[in-house]
Amino acid sequence: MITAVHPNEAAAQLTGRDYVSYSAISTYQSCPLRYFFRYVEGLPEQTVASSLVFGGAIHSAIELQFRELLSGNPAPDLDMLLAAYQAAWQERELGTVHFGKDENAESLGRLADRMLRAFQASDLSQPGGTILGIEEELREPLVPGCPDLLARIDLLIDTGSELVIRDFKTARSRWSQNQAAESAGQLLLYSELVQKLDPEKTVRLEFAVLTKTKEPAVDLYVVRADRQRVDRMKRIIERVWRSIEAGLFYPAPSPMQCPTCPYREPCRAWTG
Amino acid sequence: MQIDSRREFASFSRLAKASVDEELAGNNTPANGSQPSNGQRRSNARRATASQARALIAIADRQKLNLNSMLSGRYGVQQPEELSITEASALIDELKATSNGNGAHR
Repeated sequence: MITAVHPNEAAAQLTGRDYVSYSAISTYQSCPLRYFFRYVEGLPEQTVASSLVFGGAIHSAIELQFRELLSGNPAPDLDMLLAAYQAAWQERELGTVHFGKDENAESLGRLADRMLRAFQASDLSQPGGTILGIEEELREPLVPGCPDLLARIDLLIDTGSELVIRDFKTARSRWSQNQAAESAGQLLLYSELVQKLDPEKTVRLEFAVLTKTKEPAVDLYVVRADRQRVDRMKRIIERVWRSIEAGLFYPAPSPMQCPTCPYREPCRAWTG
Repeated sequence: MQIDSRREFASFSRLAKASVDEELAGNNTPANGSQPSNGQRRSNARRATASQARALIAIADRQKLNLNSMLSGRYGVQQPEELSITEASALIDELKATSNGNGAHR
């Protein structure tokens, strides 16, 4: 008698994690070999793009803002937000950070100052409704035959009639509504997990985009979540997971991705 | 004194509303301090988020409250994670109001 291995167990055997994340699926979609190096081989990343470190550090500062509000404390002042930003940078070895042209830790620190000021001055720093989650992890078996999906939601708010998923992004310039719609895959999946918290309420998906410009803008984009798009995302996850299970790992060279890929050396050495 | 009574009434109104909300949501988790009559129904309620649990612990620490005792006496649970989302929200609001000097429990 053949006993099928539970997808969570299969994932744990393959990657050491008994779940999949949107980030992992997205990594596979952009380059299956990069997924292999990171999630199957567990190779340490030799370099990390400054934009990733910067975005993570801004997230840490924003997270502090909402944690303090949820705990009934006054909103942190700018110095506290910047301290959270700097603390996130200090977790990184500066030598491994791949900075862009005319960019260094100091110039990014000045940019963070401007962006966090803009954030503090915006309505988004004082969300209406009740905060339910900050960097909240939710996990459910969303797609039959696939491991649980693990979601980390930047901000989850209950407005009374709606559950709002708000995802914070840093961007070079202001987004168009189309850009928001095209980036919505992650939020569409997360909407399924959040809906289970309260099936009676509508789930609203939002991107809060902070621009990395001289005068930073803080914009809110609402994304429509319809059944067809959610189902399409589920089918994508299903196909990607089947490919991972089948061991389909190959390089997907890209002039956009390769220059900042942390696995350039092992990729060149890979022979299939 | 009259103001305190009004505040106390508002606080209890909030708790009563939370209790009604829970009932409407099908959760048998009264906010009036009684034990849930059916453990299975509590386990079916959507649990408080990790952020809510952390916030409750932080607020209780700041106010030097015995959170476990409050949870046990009022909701019949031992940990903040065992509250429902609605219960956790109501309790956070109540404790925040208390720490802001607007509550009835000081």
